[in-house]
This record gives sequence, structure tokens and C-alpha cells, in this order.
Amino acid sequence: MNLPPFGGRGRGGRGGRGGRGGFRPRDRTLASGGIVVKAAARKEARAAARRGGRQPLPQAAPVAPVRARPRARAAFSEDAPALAFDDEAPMAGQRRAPAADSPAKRARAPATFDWEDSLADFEAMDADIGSAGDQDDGDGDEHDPYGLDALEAGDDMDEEPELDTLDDGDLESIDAVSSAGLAPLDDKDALYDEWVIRQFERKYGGSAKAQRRSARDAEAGDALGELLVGLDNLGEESGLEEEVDSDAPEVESTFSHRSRPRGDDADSSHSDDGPSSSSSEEDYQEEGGSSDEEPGPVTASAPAPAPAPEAGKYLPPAVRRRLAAEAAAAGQDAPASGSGKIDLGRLLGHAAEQRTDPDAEAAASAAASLALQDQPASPELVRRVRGPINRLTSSNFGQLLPELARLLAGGAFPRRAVFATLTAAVLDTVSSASSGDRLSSFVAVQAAALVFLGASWGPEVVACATVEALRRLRAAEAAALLPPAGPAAGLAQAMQDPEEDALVPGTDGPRAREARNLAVFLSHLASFNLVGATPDGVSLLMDLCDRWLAAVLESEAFLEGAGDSTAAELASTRAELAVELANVLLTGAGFSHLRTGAPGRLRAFIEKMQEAKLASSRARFLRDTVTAVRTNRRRKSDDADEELVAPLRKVLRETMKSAGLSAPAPLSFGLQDLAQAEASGGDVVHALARQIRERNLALDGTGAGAAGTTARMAAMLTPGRSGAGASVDTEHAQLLAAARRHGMNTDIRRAVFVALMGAADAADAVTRVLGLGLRGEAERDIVRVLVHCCSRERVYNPFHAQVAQKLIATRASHRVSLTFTLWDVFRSMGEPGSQDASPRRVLNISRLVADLVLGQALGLNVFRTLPLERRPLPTAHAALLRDVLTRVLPVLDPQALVRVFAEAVQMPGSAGGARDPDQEPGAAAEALTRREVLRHGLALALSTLVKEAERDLATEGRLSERDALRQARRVASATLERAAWRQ
Amino acid sequence: MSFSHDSDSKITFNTSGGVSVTPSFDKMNLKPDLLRGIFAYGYNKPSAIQQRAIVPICKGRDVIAQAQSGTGKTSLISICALQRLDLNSRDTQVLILSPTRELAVQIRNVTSALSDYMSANIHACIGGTSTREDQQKLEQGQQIVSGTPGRVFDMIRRKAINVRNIKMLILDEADEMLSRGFKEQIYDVYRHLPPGQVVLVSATLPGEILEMTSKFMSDPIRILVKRDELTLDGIAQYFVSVEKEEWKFETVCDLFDSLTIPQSIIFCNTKKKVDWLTQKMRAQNFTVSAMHGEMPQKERDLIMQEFRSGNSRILITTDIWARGIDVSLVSLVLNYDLPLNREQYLHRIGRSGRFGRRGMAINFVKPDEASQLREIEQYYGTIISEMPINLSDLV
Repeated sequence: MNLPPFGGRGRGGRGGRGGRGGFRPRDRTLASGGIVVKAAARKEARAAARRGGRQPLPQAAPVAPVRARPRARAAFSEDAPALAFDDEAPMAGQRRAPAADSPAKRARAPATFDWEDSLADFEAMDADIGSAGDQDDGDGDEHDPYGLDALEAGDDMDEEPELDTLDDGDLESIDAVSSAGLAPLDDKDALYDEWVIRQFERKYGGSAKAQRRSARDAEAGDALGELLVGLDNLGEESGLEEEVDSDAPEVESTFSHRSRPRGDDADSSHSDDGPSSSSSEEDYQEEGGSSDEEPGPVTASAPAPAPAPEAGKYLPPAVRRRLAAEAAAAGQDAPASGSGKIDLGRLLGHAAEQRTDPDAEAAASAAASLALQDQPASPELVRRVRGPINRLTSSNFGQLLPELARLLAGGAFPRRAVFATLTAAVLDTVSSASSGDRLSSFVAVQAAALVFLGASWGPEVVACATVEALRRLRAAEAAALLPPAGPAAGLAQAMQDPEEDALVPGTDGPRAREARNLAVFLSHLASFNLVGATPDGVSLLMDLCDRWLAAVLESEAFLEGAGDSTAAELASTRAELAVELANVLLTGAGFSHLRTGAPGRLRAFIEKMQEAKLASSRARFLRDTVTAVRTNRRRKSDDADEELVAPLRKVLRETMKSAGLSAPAPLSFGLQDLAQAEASGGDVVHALARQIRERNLALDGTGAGAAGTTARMAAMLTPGRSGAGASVDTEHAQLLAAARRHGMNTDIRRAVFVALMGAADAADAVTRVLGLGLRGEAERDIVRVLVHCCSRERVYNPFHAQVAQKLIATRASHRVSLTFTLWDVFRSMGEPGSQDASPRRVLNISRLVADLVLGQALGLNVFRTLPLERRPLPTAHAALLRDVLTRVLPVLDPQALVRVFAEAVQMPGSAGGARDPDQEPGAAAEALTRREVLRHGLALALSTLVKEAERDLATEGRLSERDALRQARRVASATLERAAWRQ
Repeated sequence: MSFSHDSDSKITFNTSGGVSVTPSFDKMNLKPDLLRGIFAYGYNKPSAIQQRAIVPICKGRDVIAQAQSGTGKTSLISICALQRLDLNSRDTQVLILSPTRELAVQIRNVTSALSDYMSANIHACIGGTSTREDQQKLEQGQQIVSGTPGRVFDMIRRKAINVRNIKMLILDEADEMLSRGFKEQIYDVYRHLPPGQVVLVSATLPGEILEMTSKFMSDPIRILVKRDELTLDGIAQYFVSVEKEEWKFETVCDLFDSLTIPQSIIFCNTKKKVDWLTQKMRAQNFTVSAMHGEMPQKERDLIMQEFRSGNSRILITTDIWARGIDVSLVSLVLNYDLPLNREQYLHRIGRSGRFGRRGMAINFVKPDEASQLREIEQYYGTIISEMPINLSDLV
């Protein structure tokens, strides 16, 4: 699990800042508060300019053609205010922590949450807190519906440079602030906090953007939330959508019931008496051989969606080009008039009888109109969807799918039309795939394509495909002799069924094959984790299996009565097909997936299946394979199927990684949800999404369904079960929503976040976190979340330091992971314009490190990875070092100081040990004036750190620097001696 | 081997009397483990020849089954061999002779696949392998031996195969074996065998075979299964008039953009054109496998297997006579070049089953070939109409 570097993304991407020529030269001003005043003035001027009019961004970052902007972020940015760590307004039910006895700091309860008074400005500062972890669903719409990007990019640009003013003079400015007689605060730190807060409020408090964002009221971002967001802003997003929806619902879509072209067009084709089109007269130049990429510009891009040519003949592209050329040349109306069409029929002397052949008519299964509202798919859209789908195999996955995903980018086609066309293309391919046996990766490729498109277009397309697949499966089942009303009736019903091939007994008929193919498709949807199950038993696959089980039991009951009649034969065939569908579904979906999803239902299903006395031995065999799989005695042949799909999974993973997409969250709904959605009329997918949303929200407050979490984490993540009062539950839900907003994108991190932030005090937090029973990699997340929260606090809260100390006391590995986490933070601080370099975060981290150093949980050598040889030292690092040292040196008595530095310097035999134990610790400190301590400490610290750098330099062979460093160390040890022994 | 059983219902037989049809494997009281193996292998219903031949063979009667390839012959042999096997004795009990090494190995593979749930050891005893290794294997006790006459006779002479308990001799493709001059070896092998059951499976029954069988088969039952004829009814046939050869490729791409085509077969008349078209289509991001008549059967089977497993969506090929492609696999057959004669048209487009997946056939017709198409239409009395525009509903 590679948690993105804390502190948001390194703003490398926002290279735009480069244009600003890096850090402005330090403007040396009076040591008095000048800097603070000057900085504020500059800020005001710029804000006023911006409010006046759109200040052209000096470096408008070029918007990449497809901006993979995190959909979650869109939902997030319009979200309720980010978690505000502010201890002024404690939340109800949150006891204030007992004053910790640590000498320096009053341990406050963990950050309380004032949800209403939105710290939008806090969020503005960390414009994309959560974005590091979340992944945009590539909502490729060119124009950003909320107009956030440009604004945020613009604003951030201005705020970052604020840091430049934090240089040598600033510390003095802090004194200046205090001496300037502001409200008398007891200790300097609170004063410092005050300064920091005023800085930020003035900078962001009043910004228009913050007001607008907090005004918006969408729910917390999550998979299903996106679905709804996607659906809700549907109309708003593409104007075209509006007219389309308002059209008469019965728009005759090319996918609607099979039109009978041959009958009528046959006559029309004969009525034409277009010029005889023997090719010799036409001096038709062949356009550059077979430029088949796009048929010649003239015809293909017919201006407005040309009225579908009357159901006439199919014309090869070359002919279409020529006719259009003729029409253009003669300035006549659209070529649809059919003149000049080559009529081979007449050549063949068909004139008189044009018999319509009934058999040929029944050529295809009726492509019943999609359950979704019919979108009149423009021929161009059909071509651009069917082309890639017809070519798709695992080998050309990488090239075709990104091209298909770009369909939505242009915004040329309405979203729902694209989804409907894609669903039709995929499901047509699946249902008419030749062999239903699983030994073909044919159906799996279509499911894999859905994974990719679901990731880039949002879960809506997956919902459309699943709903349509279920509808077709039910139709195919009914036709393949699985009518609900018992086999006898089934036979009768099959008789009047218009499609003759429904009559086919046994499991060989085309409708049975279609049902089997669709079952394989659904099982692959599950194995690719597009369709999931929730812990409390809602699982689509199990619903289907139960339906088939019912069919088996029903035909069993019928069999007892009937003797050896054809009805009995029919019944046993029906049972066999039902068992086969269940077998295909369960083995395809992979049992591990099902066991975690809805274990209880699976066990019940298999037990009931055991009892059924199946007539045909094949049905018994298929049932035995299902039970064998449950008890994990997998057959060699079942793995053969997985061997076919495994390379496909690999290709899918690579394609997704290269496109920068992450898998969409699984949809979990049952057949009753679908039934309710269909009953509620209107758009099925909309209604279904809403139902899933409500259930998930009730479940765990995040709306995404926490599938696959351990029991304890599940308890942590599901408020309903915390056993405490209602108020705690709502707090719990808000905690979870906050966790999601902070980019806690895995269950483990969310659980840790809730455990930490929901605790009463440090001790309680530690017990709750350790109670999660996380081991190994997951355990490292505890410290990462802790540091993340600490750095995001509005004002530093020593709670985090105490928790860190207690954790390190329990296990040493926490200290290692804390060091690594801090190194990550230091590194991202060093990057120009990174979020971590913002003053408040530097402040928080430095105070955390200072507390930990004072508490001996951490050594100063944690700074050894700082690139000390860089001149000038990055501002953030400089500020960090100074802040830590100013806190560590004056507070520590010499003994503690020596201990601290001894550890840092790894001096042989700590000098402190040899000192006179009863030496009054505070005496020596008083002797040194504060400034002197600062200077010495700094020199010592730098030399200590440089010693590390020196060893590295030595190894790197740059010996010339060595003498200078040795000199620095000599000064440091002299200072140490004097500091320790001075009477 | 996908096999559309429903096609069999139209097959006429002239079989000796008393041969009953058992429509499903259940009723053949096969061993339960063998039954499970059959279903695991993917068969759900017996083919015509199996319905008739399995029961008499398993009763121990001598049988002559006449069936061409593709009618389920190999699995018939394997099922009968496994059914007659006595699993507790490790001696060789069934001997299967085939004309070619590939056929012998194929029978061994099918038999071992069907015996997944049974513990039977089957050995392919064919030339070209080291005789010593062969002997060692045989000494371990192989219950079923499938091999070529030459090597088998050699093993019998070397006493590697203990013939005492062989109770069944199966001769596969007897007509082909005779045409390759194995007559003496067959006699020799037969002479060494104890009297037992003999089953002869052959595509044709020329005079010598009949004369030969009377010598070593006692009152054999004759079962004749002819390959079903191909039929054009139920297949939507269209033509697209293209004025120039150059237009064809562009039209193919246009078709693949407008229709939903899971898998398709494109027929060309020359091997050169197959290679040219394959290369051009691959340039257009199509995944294509190519095949032509001269390829060895093994390679053809490989390509077919790859095509059926969905690794390639389009099969471009010339006319394949010897072993028809199971055209019912695909939803579209495209005649890039019009077939040269009427029979070829039937072999390309014809489907073997009324209930086979309804397919579609499109022919590219140049003006000069128009009369040819009309002639085909009249010969088969079928309708080949011009392709309509909104074809998407029909595929």
C-alpha cells in the first residue's frame, strides 16, 4: 500500500510556479514588524486586483486535452467543509481531555469538529487534501461543471509565495508582534499561533471562492455518490442532453424492435429509375487506394445528423463518397433521393418477384429495445463504439480501450447515448458468442473492457450494462424453457413463442446458449470486482442462484407426479439448465469472492442444492462440481478456465495503470433492488443508484459499502453497531465522512482515522488503535495517519505527540515508521510550491518533532536526511530546523540537552554520565542568554547533522569539504563542553 | 469438439436390424466415474454414432461402425474402451490401432481426459519414440494401448505387451490403414491376440475391408452414420455490389464498424490474398488468424483452437475441403471473393443444423460476377438479396 506522500501531491505538476522565477529575492527590511506588515500589504493589493477582474494567470497551466481531474474531488470540492481541527468549539459528547501533566503543554482532547463554521479557507489552503489518494474517474468533460479548477489553480498560485517572507527576519517579527503590545498572551507559543491564524484568516478568510464552496451542499464524495452526482448534473453538464430527454420517449431507435427492411425497401429500390450506373461511364478516381480510416471527408461528416437514409440499400463507402460528390457537384439535395444508386438487383433481372423469405427473416433474435430510455444513437456513435468492440481481444486491449474511453471526452455525444450504445454492443457480442463453454476468454474480454470504461466514465456505465444483462438473461431463461410457471405450462408457452428455436429441448438451443453466455458474463463482472456483495447478505449472484434453485426444486416437484412423459423430459432438462447456469456463475465468479461477499447465503444455497434429487446425471455432476469447489477440492479443468483469464487480468491492470485509472468501487445490489427500481418507473439506473445509495449510507455512512473488512474494523466503520447513544453515531458518521475527505482511501486508514480522532484522549486513542489488531504494513498506516492529522491541524495539538510517544513505547517499529513518515514529509516540504511547505504545516510538524525529541521518542538525527548541503536551504527546512531548535534548546536543562545531543552525536560514553549528578539542572541554562543558546545550539545541531553529511560526502569521495566540516565539529564539541560545565 | 447434436436427427442410416438408439448417456449404464469424466470433458449428449454403437460394443458384440471424421468417432472409441476396462487388473485389456501417429496420440489424449475420475493408465505406442522407453512404459502395465500397427506388432513380438488378457481390438480408420499396406501387420497382430471382441470404425467400407472382416469378426453389427448434408435454409444471405477490387477492403472495415460481429470467417480464393488481407487487417487493429488449404491438419487444428478460444476475432482462409470448419461457430461468413463453383458456396456458407445459431452470409460481388451469383441462387433455390442498410438488427 503506497500511501501518497503526505501533505498532498508535490506540486511538481503545477510547474506553472516555475514561471514565477522561483523564490523572490529576500527583501531585507527593518527587523521591526516591517516584514509582517509589508507581506500583508502585498497580499491585500493582489487580492483587490484579483477581485477587480480576472487577473490573467501569469502561467495558465496548459489544460491537458483529457483532464483526469478526480471526480471524487469534484464531489469533494463542493463538499461540506473539510475536517476543521479547531479546539474552540468542542463537539457535543466530546469530553475535554484531563490536563496532561507534561510540563510544557496542556494536552488537549483530540481535534474537535466544528462542522458548521466551515473552515473553507483551511480547505482552500489545502486545495486538494484528498486528491492525492483519490483518483479521478476521468470525467473527461472538457468544461469543469463547477468551474473549480481554474479558480483553485489561480488562488493557490498566489498563496504559495507567502512562505517566501518567512526568512531570518521572521523570528524577530514574532518578538515584534509580542512586543507590539497585542493582546497580552501568557506564553509565546499561543502568541505564535495567533500570528499564524491571523495570517491565514486575512489571507483566505474572506475569499469569494470559500463562500461559494461552502454554500454548495452535495454529500461526501464516494463511488455511489459519484454515480448520483454524475446522474444529477447530467442535464446541467451537456445542454444537448436536455433536448434529447424531452423528445417523445417512443423514439424509434435503431436498436428497437426488428424493423422489416426487406419487404418495403425491395419495392422502393425497384421504383427508382436512376441513371443506369454501369461503372465504365463514371471516371471515378479511386481516392488514394483504400483510405479506410475515415471514409472520404465529404460523406462521413454529413453536417447535421443526416436523416437516416430511407431503409434502402447498404452502400459501400466508396459508393457513398461518389454519390455525395455527385450531389455536392450538382448542388442537389441530400443523396437520400437514391438517384444514381447502383441497382445490381435490376442487373440480375430481379424486376418482378421479390419474394420475402420467412426463414431469412427470423435470422436474428429480436434486439428488444434497451430497458434504459432509448437514446437515438447517431450512426457516427454506433460506428465509433462497434468498431473497437468488434476488434477487441486481449492482445489489442491497450490501444483500443483508451481510444474508446475518449468518446466521452469530446462531449460530442450525450453520456446516456454512449452508455446505451456500448451496452448494446457488448451484450450483443456476448449473447451471440459461439461457445457458451467457459473455455474461452471471449466473454471475459468484454467484461474487462467494462472495468476500464467503468473506471474512466464512472460506475454508471457498469450499472447500465449489468441491468441490461440481467434483463436479457431473464428473457433468455424464459425462452430456454425456464418459465416460472412450471414445465407443462412452459411447453405450452414455448409453443406460441414466436421464436422457433425456443422449442429446442435440452441445453443446446441458442437461447440456452445465450443464457449461459450471459451467466458467464455476469460471473466475470463479479470476478473483476465490478459487482460486489455487502457483508449483510445483499448479493446479486446469490439472488440469481436462488432463482435457479427455485426452478430446480419446482421441476423436482413436478417430476414426482409425471411419469415418463415428454413433460418429465422437459422438467429434467429444465433442472439441468438451471444447475448448469448456477455452476457456470459460481465457478466463474470465483469462490473466494463469494465467500467474503455473502458466506451465509452461499452455504444455504449449497445445502439446499445437495438435497435436490436431480434426474439427469449431468445435472448431478454439475452440482457436485459446485459443492466440490465449496470444499475447495478444485478440479484441474476449473483452473484451466482461470489460466485463460489470468493474462487478461494482467493486460487490464497494465492498461489501467498506464491510463492512470483505479478500479471503480463494486456495485452491490440485489434483484429486489432492481425490481423496485423498475417498478418505480422512470430511468431504472437512476432509481437503482438511489436505492443502493440509501442502503449503503445507512450501513456505514460512506455510501460505498465496506466489503471485506475485518470484524473489528467493520465495527469501527459501521456506526450503527458502536453500541453508544445516537449522538455518538452521528459523530461516528461524520468522522467517517471526514476520513474520506482526507483521502483515507482504504478501510484500514479510515478505521485508524476514526480510532484516533474519535478517542477521548491520548491513552484512549492508543488503546483503540492497537485494538484494531493491525500487523505489518497496515500497522505503519497508524503513524502515517497520525502525522497526516497533526499536520492538518489548524493549531498544533500535543495530543498527536502523546499518542506517538505511547505508540513508540509499545513497539519500536512505530519509531522506525514515524522516522520514515517524517522523512517523506521533509522531502515533500523541500519541493517548491508543495502543500507541505505551507507555514501552518511546517509549524505543526516542527512542534510535533520538538515534543517527540523532548519526550526522547525521537532523536535529532531524524533531520539527517535534510539536504543540508543545498544553499540556500529550502525555506521550509530552514524554518523547521529553527523552530525545533528554538523549542528544544531553551527548554531543556543542560543534562537533557547533552542527552539529546549525545544521542545525536553518538559521542563515546555520554558526557552527561560523567557529570556531577546533583548539579542543579536549571542553573547552567540561566547563565546562557537565550540568544547565545540559540546560536550555539544551532551550530552544534548543524555540525551534528553535517557529520552525517560528511560521512556521506566521504563515501562519495568529495573530500575537499571534509576539513571545513571537521572545523565545525570541533566548534560544536567545544560548545558542548562549555554548555555542560559552565558554572 | 463442439458438436451440434440436433443436426443428427436428420441423418438416414442403413444399419443392421436390432440396433436401438439410446438418446442420453444416462441410459447406457456406463460406469459412474466414466460418466463424470464424459461430462467434465464437455459432452452433454451422445452423437448419432455414439447413441447407436456404444451399447452393442459395451455388450461385447463385434461392431463395424461407418462414420466420417467429425461425427464423434474418437470419443466413441475412448468411451467403449474405458467402459470395457476391468480396473482392478493391470494387464493390457484393450488394443487400439490407428493408421497415423497423430491419430493414435489423439485417441490416447481423449481417453485419458475421459478417465479423469478413473485410475486407468493409457499408453500411446507409436513409431518414432525410443523403443526402450516404450518397453519400460509397457512393462509398468498399461491397461489400454493405442498405437500404430508397426510399433505395436514389434512390442508384441518382444513380449513387451502381454497379450493374454486383451479382450478387445479396435481398428480405427481401417480403410485408410489398408490403403497404407498395413494388411499383413494387422493380420499378424490379430493372430497373436486371444479370441475376443473386434470393433472396426471406418469412414468407408470398400470391398477388401468387408472381405477382411468376415475372416476375424463373428457376426458383426453394421452401423452406418453419414455426415449430415449442409443446408442453406435459415441463413440470411446478402450480397454487396462492389465495382472495384480495391473497394472490398474498405467495405470490410465499414461492415465491422456498423454491425455487431462477435466472430467471423472471411473466405478468399487464393492463398496470396489470404496473406495480403491478413496483413492489412492487422494494420487496422483487427486480431486475425489466417489458414489455408495446404497447412498440415495439426497446424489447422491449432489455429481453430485459438480462434474458438476468442484470442482472435476473424479467421481468414481459403476453401478447406478435408475437414469442414464448424461454421456454426461464427455469426458472419464473408465471401471476400465469390466462390469459384456452386459446391464451394455450399461448403463455405452451409450450416449443418437447423437449430445451429442463425448466421449471416455476405458476398462481395463485382459486376462481372453477377451472373455467377444468380446461378448459385437458382441452383440452391435460395434468396440472396442486396444487403439492407440497418442491418444491425439482423446480426
